[in-house]
Amino acid sequence: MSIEPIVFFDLVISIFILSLALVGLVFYYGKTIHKIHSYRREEEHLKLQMHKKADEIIEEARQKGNNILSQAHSNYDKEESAFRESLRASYANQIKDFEKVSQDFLKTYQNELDLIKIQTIQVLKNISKDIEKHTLLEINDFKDILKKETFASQKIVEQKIEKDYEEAKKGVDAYKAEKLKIIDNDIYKILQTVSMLVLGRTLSQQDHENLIIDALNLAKKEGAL
Amino acid sequence: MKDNTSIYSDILKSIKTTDDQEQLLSEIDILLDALFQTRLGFEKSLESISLETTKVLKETFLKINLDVTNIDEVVNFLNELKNKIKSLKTLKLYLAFFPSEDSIDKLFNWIINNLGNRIILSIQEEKTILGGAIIEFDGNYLDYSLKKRLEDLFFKRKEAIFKI
Amino acid sequence: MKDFSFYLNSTQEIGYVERTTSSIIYASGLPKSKPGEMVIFDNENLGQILSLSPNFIEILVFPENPVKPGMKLVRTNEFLKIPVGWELLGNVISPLGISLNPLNSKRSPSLRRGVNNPASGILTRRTIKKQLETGVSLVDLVIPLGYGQRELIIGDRKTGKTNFLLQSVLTQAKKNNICVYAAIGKRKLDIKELKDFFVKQGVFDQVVIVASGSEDPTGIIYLTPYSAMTISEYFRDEGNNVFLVLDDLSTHAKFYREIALLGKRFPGRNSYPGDIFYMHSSLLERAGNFVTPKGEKAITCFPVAETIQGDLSGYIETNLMSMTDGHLYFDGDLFAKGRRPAINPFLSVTRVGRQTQSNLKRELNREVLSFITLFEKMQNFTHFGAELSVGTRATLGFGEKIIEFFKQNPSTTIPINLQIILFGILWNNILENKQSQDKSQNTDTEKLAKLYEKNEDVRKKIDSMIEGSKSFNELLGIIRQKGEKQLVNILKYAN
Repeated sequence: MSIEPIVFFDLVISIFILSLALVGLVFYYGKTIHKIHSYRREEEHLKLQMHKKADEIIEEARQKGNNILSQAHSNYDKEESAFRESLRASYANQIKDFEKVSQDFLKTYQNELDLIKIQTIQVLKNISKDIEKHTLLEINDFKDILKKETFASQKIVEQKIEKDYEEAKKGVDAYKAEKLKIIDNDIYKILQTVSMLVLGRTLSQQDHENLIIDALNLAKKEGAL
Repeated sequence: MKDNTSIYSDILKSIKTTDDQEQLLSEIDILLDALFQTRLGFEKSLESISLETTKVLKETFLKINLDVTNIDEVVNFLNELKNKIKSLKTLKLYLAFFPSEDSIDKLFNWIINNLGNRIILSIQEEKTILGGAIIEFDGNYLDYSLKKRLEDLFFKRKEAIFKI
Repeated sequence: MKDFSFYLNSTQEIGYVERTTSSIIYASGLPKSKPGEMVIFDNENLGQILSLSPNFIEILVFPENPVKPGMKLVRTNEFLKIPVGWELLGNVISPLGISLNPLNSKRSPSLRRGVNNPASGILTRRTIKKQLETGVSLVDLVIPLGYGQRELIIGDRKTGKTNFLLQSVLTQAKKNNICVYAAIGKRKLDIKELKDFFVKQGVFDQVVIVASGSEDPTGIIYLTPYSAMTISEYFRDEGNNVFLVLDDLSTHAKFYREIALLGKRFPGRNSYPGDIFYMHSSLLERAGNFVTPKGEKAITCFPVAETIQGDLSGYIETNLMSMTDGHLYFDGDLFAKGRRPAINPFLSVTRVGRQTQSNLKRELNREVLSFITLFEKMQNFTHFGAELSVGTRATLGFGEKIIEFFKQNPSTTIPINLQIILFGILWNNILENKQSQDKSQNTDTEKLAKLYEKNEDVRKKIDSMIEGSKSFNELLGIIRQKGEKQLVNILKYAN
């Protein structure tokens, strides 16, 4: 196939443009690398300087610290001795005060104790007297009540005995009445039988016959026959 | 049936009490035995029982024209008679004393007049009732004794008696 | 009952004895007599008119002295009545109400009650709601019974029926219920032993024994259960729950058969008269749960029937089973194996007992029943002689334990709450697979039962445990919590 000339020219032109671009790129790239290198060198230089300075500052600080420390030590010793002195003085004072106060306390405590002793002895005396009185009273009361009670209970017992007697009497009376009734009944029965026997014997033959016929008539009337 | 009843009625009339009933029954049994055992004639057998019964029987036979030589007929008649006698109802009387024949007759007449002729008396002596009678008939028991009446009387007048 | 001459005068009728057979006599007279009416002889014997015919009256006699032909008799215009009252308690009486103890100091009660009362109608009846404690754990836990239930006690002779009845009477008497024991045609020695048992246990003043010996007249034996029921009805109307035992109704049926055959009644099946069913049903229907003026009170009835060689299909047995609300079957085989009580829970029925149970008891019941059913089935496997799995062996072991738990001495009664607790502990042990010691079961439970009765604290604790649990699982939980230790402490305390 034959390539058309327009197309061929287009291709050539485009290749030409691209190669130009490429050259440009390569050139720019070289520049930038050169820059980077220079920056790096600077950086290293700066670092060195930094280190030096830091070392100097640390040295200074160290020296200052040492001075301060030495001053502090001497101050400390002075202060400590002064503090001890004052402590001793105040301690001695304190002891004196405490002694005083404790003695005072002791005195007052003893006084109080004595007072209380006296008071309690008095109170106890009173109490025992009261108790005596009370117990005497109670005993008397009890005696009186006991007397009354025994008297009352005697009465109750009396009453009870009377009651029982009455009841027994009633029972006996009832029994008597019953017995009398029974006797009466017996008498009545005897009367009955005797009179019946007598009546029976006194009837004549004719009377008997009449009775029988009457009975038969009655029976017939009642419809039993 | 009418004939039947009238045939036996004469004989039955003669029975007044249970004693009569028992006696007649035993006599009929004797007669039957005699008829069967010895094969005697009727006349001869009649000798073994009482005169009264013989008389009554003979009268009856005449009335009904019973052939006395026909033993079977006689036997039938006598068995029938026995049944009739047994079927008589009993009126039991408890009396204070055992009554005389006249009294019994009076009582029996009363019964015939008031209750018909199929009922006979049975009399038992019970002195404790003092008078009157206790009547028992057909399961009914009626106490009309003097004793009872007196007891009732006494009971009513109890208070008055007590006062005495 | 007044005397002969009084009735002669008041009724004005007389009868004569015409013919006598041993317990029935035929008399003539007495035109206005009624069937069932009482008659008196001139030697003060009593009798009851059975039937009337045109010429004769048929009378069943209750003779203390022999009755001869020709004797007189009168009708009383009354029906049979027996004396009932509180004086009957603590007494052995005949069915006519006469005390059999010659040294009895109490008077005969003055109130009389008819023996052949008809049963109450449906308006006065109520459903059975309360459980009846018998004191026997097998019955209370597995076959529950209720107040007002009629439960037939059925089994061969010598299977422990009477023992069970005595345990139940003991439990009921301790709860202050009235107990009536009807000994029908028993030997005099047996009756004495009954009385001695109650006296020894100290409950005889809650018990009435209505007894007829085997040599008593047939009429008296026939009357025994009816008298007992009448007495129970009296105590029910006085406001008490009554526990009635009828021991035994098969003997009663036999004596009634004798009377009926002598009276020329037409014999039916097994020569029993046609009304044998009615005889028993009219009696058993008088028991039940009633509402009375004094509240809801019940007559619980335990009739007893004796089978021959375990035959439950006999005539009287099937009759009674159909009349009652269930039955407890005493198995001769189980008795021979040593189980006391020898109740077979699979052949026993309770128709109205389960409705009385609380939720807890119902669940317990279900657990137990399902387990022992399983156990029975498993036991069949042992016959094969093959190797049993671990599970089967375990089940068999536990089943044995449960059977041991249900065994009880004749004179031991265990209150139901205690039974539930003990069973809960046993079940707990089973569930947790503990191998508990085989304690001497019976003596321990006896001691516990006595302790429960006497010590109120123990009783309250146990009751509160049970009332607090609404279900069986809850109760098991409580038991697990408190542990068996408490029980052991209680035992030590008892010792």
